[in-house]
Amino acid sequence: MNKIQYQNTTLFVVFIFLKLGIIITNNYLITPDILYDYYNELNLSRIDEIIEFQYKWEWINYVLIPCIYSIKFLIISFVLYVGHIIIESKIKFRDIMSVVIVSEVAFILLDLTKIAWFIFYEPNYSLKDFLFFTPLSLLNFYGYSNVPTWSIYPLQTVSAFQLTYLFFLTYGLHLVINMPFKKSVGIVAASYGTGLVLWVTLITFLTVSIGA
Amino acid sequence: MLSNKKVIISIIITSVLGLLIFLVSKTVIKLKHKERIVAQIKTLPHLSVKAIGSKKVEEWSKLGKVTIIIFFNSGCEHCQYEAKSIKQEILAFAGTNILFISDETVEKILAFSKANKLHNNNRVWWLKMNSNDVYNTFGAIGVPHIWIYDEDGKLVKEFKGETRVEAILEWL
Repeated sequence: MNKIQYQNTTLFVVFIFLKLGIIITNNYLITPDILYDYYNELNLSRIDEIIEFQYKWEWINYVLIPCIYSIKFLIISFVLYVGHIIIESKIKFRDIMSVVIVSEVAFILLDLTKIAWFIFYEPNYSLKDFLFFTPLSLLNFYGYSNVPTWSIYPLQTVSAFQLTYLFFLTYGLHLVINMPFKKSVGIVAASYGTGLVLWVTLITFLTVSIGA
Repeated sequence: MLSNKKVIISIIITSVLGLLIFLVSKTVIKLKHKERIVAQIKTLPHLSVKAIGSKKVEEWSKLGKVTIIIFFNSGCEHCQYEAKSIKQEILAFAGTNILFISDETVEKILAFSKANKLHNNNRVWWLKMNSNDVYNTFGAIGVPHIWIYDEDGKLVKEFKGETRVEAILEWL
């Protein structure tokens, strides 16, 4: 295993541990009281059953996290790689992968901000408040209860943390291949930007299709 | 002659644009459909259904009673719970028409009605609706989905998902 591959594996493992820590904290913040309040149209015994079921299968989330992020990192790296291949810049896939994993720190910052918000600033919250809250996003500006359900994901996506992620990707690639920053912006916008627009459109379409 | 690079770029741009146009247009069509459905179900909609069992569809289609429509699927655990809890409190539904609608086969609907001992109840109708009619009448919905209409056929409450029977009774 060469140095970069070793570095990528280490980065990935560190990232997964951070993410798992955040998910465990989130689960801790979603207390049984919040769940009872959310399912208030059900009988108490049914809520107990549902909560018990959720706790029983919670481990699946933890197992899925490494799989989901492996796929995410591979897809984003591939999209950026194709963008670079087209303009014939010499870059290795594994170098792009390093930048992609490190850039994900932007979303870790988002998660930490969210946790801090609910612990220190807004300790009285509902399940929906917690799930939909995306700091410094358009959704936060409008409020999730004032917009149709299908528009929640697009509005969550347009956030300061998404911009930070874009900046990390661009700056990271600019450092790795010594490409002029402006050119790097163009490639990230054309490859990742296009992919993101397609992804958000697809999720919106699926949300509308399931009747939300 | 175009270089390979230009051909690849053209193919990528065309595919992305094509996919985007397809998704956006489909989304817009579905949103317009949803808008129409929201307006349509504000009053008791016309139901293209086939009654299962001895009762005729016409018996409930007249107004004058509160109507509860429950869209269900016999394999759904939440629907089984819903039917079971309605059965337990069926006496509280006096003066109400309860329409259980599904797009499953007649056999499955009948088996579900018998399993919940509601197949011979005078307040309950078991109805089969084709999937297309479900989409055109109620839109894209999950199960169970409950609508409550007052005596004038006006929608008073809609529940998405399993609902305790007391919450339904509050709206009768």
